[in-house]
Amino acid sequence: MLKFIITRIISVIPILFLVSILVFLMVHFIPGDPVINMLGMEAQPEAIEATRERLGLNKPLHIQYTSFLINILKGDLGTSIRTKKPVIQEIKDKYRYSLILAIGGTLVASVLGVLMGIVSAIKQNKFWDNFLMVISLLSVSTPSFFLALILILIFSLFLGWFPSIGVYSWRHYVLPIFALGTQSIGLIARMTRSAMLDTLNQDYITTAKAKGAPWFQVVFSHALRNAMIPVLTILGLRFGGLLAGSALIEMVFAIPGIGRLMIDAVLTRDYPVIQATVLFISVTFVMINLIVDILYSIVDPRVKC
Amino acid sequence: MRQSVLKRFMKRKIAVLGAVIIVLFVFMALVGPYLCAYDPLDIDVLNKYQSSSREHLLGTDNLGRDTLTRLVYGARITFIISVTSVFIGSLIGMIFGVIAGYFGGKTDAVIMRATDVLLAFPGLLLAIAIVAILGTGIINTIIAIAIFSIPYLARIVRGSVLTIRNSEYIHAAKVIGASHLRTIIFHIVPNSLSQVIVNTTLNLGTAILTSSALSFLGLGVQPPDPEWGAMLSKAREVMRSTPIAALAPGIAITLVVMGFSLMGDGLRDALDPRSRND
Repeated sequence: MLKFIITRIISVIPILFLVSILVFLMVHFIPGDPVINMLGMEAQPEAIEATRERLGLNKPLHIQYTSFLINILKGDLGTSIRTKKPVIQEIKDKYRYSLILAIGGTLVASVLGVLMGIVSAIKQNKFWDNFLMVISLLSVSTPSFFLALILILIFSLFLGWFPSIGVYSWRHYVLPIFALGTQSIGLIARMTRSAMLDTLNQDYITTAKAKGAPWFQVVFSHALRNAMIPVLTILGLRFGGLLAGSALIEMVFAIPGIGRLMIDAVLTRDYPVIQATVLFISVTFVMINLIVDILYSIVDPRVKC
Repeated sequence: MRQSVLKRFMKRKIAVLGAVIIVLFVFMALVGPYLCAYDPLDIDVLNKYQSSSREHLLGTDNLGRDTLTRLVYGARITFIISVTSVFIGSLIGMIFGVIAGYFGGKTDAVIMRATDVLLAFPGLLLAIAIVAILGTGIINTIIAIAIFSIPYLARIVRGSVLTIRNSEYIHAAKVIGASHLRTIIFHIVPNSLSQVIVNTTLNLGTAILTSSALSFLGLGVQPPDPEWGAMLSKAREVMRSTPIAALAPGIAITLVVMGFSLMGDGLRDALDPRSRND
């Protein structure tokens, strides 16, 4: 198992390396001169030269990349063109909001999704199964930003239960987390359902039933434990999607998270911020998947390289 | 064989429902614009933010443009973006997938690492990053979503090629002297086509969600073009007074995505009965 964990960790290194190259090259992929893109057509030639010099864009590509990488490892992600603040500072201030949303969304999705999946599997092809599968179909088809607006309309504007903008208390997080997590509920419900159906047909379940084990023990302790493995993988993969997708939710609920930072940066062509946020989100995503993989190699000894 | 696929598809009522939804929306996109009484870009500031009425069934938006007309024209844009991008992305993904699976070895390793890297940018992030490079607009949205769908399809096709690569009929083709290209085009591709069709259909739903999300963020289709995500974005300012302006495009996106999802599942069951989940 230790061997699996080490190989898995090593396998992540080239991916992170390639991700950093792509993020570095982003500025160079832009059609036209990156500095003019950043400063605008009417910028003074001196200002253009100064920015080129400051960003090191006049050096050869491999030297630019090396210093880009060294700076990242030192925790220096450059300076925002718009706010003139260090990008790392901006991200530090905003990252936790997006992290709370993504973790909350993943929790909502896993609890509700797994519960729905279990009920569906137990009641296979009966009313509850069909009903829950319609709900999960709706959940995967509804865009999160549309759901967010409906939630605001019902729970903020009409019922007044939850605030619709900002992040001042836990009540502010309820609607955004729900809006973000819902799309994954359906996915996890379907995954749990089919994994549960697979395990419920196994011999050891029949044995457990034959020995007279109570049904909730059969379902929760025998079947669910084994059905959780594919579900865990999906959860790891969804987490990254939620982290990136929180940009939409942050826009609707006016939450100052990293997603909004990224969108604002794209709209104002603030390339150091774009690069840093894209890098940050993808590295988090790769690391979470690494952790999930390692976790279930511990949970399930059958998983090997 | 073909008839039995259609028969199996038609047996699943819910898959047929999905197909009916899509057909209706495609009809709306093709014919709808000729039936509209208004122009989607005609501004009528005196009548902005109207609720639904006899003149404007779904009300009007912030500039007094008829929401129903914009919804109908928006269907065109939605289908143009999703179908073109998924077609291009699937084609490129399929080519890479076939090459990786068929030749194996180093070629496979290089292509698979490339997909790994693309997949390291989760969900919307890759599309946003591409738009950050290329800029906004319909064409760039299409490119972003095409690139976005390449790695998924490449992996799926590679998987299916790996399972058929060692089949006897492939060996037979090689033994009688078929070239690589001939083997790929006449034997490998037709046999992995069902996977491609199913996943392309499912990808269409994802493409619509992504393109509307980009437009909602202001990074996709630009005003004044009518796009469902952009319409939603504008309408959220008047959620309380004229909720219909947001509900109409939101429900349209949901229905089309649902339609593609139901159709994709139905096609999967019809083309490959072994993979059924229930």
